[in-house]
Amino acid sequence: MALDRKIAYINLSTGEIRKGDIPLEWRKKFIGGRGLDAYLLYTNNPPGIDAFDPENRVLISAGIVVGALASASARTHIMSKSPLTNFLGSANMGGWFAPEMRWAGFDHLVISGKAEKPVYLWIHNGEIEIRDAKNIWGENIYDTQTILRQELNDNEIQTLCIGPAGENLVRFANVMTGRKNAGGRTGMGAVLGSKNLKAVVCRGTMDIKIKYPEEALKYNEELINQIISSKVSQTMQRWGTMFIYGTTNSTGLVRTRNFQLNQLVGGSDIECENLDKVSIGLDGCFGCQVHCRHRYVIKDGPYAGTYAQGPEYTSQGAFGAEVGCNNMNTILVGNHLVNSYGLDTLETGSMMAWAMELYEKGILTDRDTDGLRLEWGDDEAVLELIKKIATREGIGDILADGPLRAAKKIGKGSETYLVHVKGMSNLHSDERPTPSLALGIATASRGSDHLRSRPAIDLYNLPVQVLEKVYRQPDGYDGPLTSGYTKYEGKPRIVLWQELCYMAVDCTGMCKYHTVFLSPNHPNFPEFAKMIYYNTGLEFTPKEIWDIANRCYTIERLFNIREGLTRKDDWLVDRYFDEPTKRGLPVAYNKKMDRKKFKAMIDEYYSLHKWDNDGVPTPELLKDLDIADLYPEESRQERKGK
Amino acid sequence: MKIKKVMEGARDGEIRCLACFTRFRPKRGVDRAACPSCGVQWRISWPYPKTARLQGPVWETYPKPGEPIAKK
Repeated sequence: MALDRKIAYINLSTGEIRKGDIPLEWRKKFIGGRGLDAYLLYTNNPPGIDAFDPENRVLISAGIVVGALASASARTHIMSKSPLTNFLGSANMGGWFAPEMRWAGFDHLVISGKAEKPVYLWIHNGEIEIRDAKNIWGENIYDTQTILRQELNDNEIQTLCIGPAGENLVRFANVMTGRKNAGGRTGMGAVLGSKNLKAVVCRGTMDIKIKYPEEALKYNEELINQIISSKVSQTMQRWGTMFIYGTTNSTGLVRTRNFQLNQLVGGSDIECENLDKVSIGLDGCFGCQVHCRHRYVIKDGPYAGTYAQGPEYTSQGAFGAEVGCNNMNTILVGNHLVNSYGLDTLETGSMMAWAMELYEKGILTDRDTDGLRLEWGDDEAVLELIKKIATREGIGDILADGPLRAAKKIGKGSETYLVHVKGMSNLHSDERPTPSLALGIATASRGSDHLRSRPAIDLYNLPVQVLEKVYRQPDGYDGPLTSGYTKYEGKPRIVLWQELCYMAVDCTGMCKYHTVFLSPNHPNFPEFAKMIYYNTGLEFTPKEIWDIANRCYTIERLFNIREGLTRKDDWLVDRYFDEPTKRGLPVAYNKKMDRKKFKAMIDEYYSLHKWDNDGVPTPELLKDLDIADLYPEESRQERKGK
Repeated sequence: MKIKKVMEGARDGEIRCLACFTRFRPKRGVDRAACPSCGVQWRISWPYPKTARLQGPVWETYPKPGEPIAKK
């Protein structure tokens, strides 16, 4: 049957492995993937524990249509308490791991405990073994996967693993599958490192029975046509996500030199068109026709001849605009290094840019950096600092602890120059001219984040009629919607809509670029309903999927509330309100956020969510979503008492 | 399975000026074009023969900070 994949509970301290069915009731309430992970984390994790406590669970999952007849149904999700933010940890990656995990018989892994020595999990056709990892501990991401393929004598295995950064408990270490697919945000690699869990390896040949195979195949064809006939997809087929930089940097929406500027003037060398000089073709994730991942060979410098994949838009900021570099080779090498060490590219770039601003202001000196001159645009210093962070050497050891802890150690007012929300750094986008994007990063469930609620199509200044077609369904919203990305009015709704759309797509296991992220014409709730039905036989209306996504997002919110989140955490650093932008087109120039208007946006956003004034989901909402038992009245009263 | 490889429709070859949001259609294959509405000059690239992309501004003519753009 279509829904016969299992859940496994793995205790690394005791070696106990328990397998079970996934109840149909869970499917109907949470679908799968990120949504079911949220429920499992909330109900299995002891409240308030440290992220490195062995009792902190790690969830690894595949969405409900992963590996089936659905386009780009390739996504792996990983969730835990974050060692970076102390709130929700969650990351999502493409590639081939999640399909292989399903073909090996499992949809969800719930991992607890800590192994006495380094181990990896070997999952194959319904079996799970805990194996010694001493010969791969210390190896980088690429070599770890190569050694495991040799050890298991199988080139078809798929591996999710950590690199040296995760082993060294860098609080923004990622998990990787393949050479490039990164579960980057919130430090999930460090949690695996704290458990001595180096890798999870899958190999499976167990069929996934499609409920209505002919209809599913036909419908998948429709979906693929819908997706790849858009201009956005066609551009991504040539240059991947780096194409976005053309729009954002041209306008003045790119965080440059940490947060001092909003545009890398003359930054033409790092434009995606220059990838053509090094690219040897593009690759794709399971089931995807877009193929947005470049394969390239580094041409210059000490890494010349190295093969790597990527980079993405995020790395253009991390090793380009944020640190003031205008050198494609630095982007390519930086991308290779973070992937090899297992570091989140975004957080790494942001921490380096912050350190450079501190150096410029004399808060950090050569004594602090062991003589490394952290000057804007110094390509060699950037690449050297990546290594120091991954290996926790010198100043890198401080930066490896993430924004808030590093600022506490450095002191001297250094926190003033951080650009973060909830202790996680912002993307290299500059949201001062774009209130909807600013609201999204301020309220996202995993800290500052552009992949949890970003209404990116707001940047297109689409006519209201187009916005209405997208944002009024499936619940019949009849409030305001406005065209124009500098406006505050009507934006909370589109942030909320995107939150639930992205949650829904993460429950299915499809790629976000296959939904309304960069194109208003891409699939969303009605298409998700059909795809799930043809593949699994589960019947949902678009509105029911909306409600499920709302339920899952609310549980993520409850997790954060339980870990101590308050309204003040849904806010931006003062620089957004006090420092106007200095560059860009008139539409983006001399812009800063308005505190009063932004507060009103948060009020409206909470109200639309049916959260109270402190951002806590109301009893009425929890009752409507049938999860009132997850946050009983005693918990509410206890919080008020604090 | 038949997959449409090339976008077809009224907006082939169109780009949107980032300064004034006017859509316009540069001559196919050119690498530079000025917005017919506000005059801001852009570099153009072509991921596919019928698909134009705004690559970036012509920096030498980019509006100075605070300089207004004349919208016709």
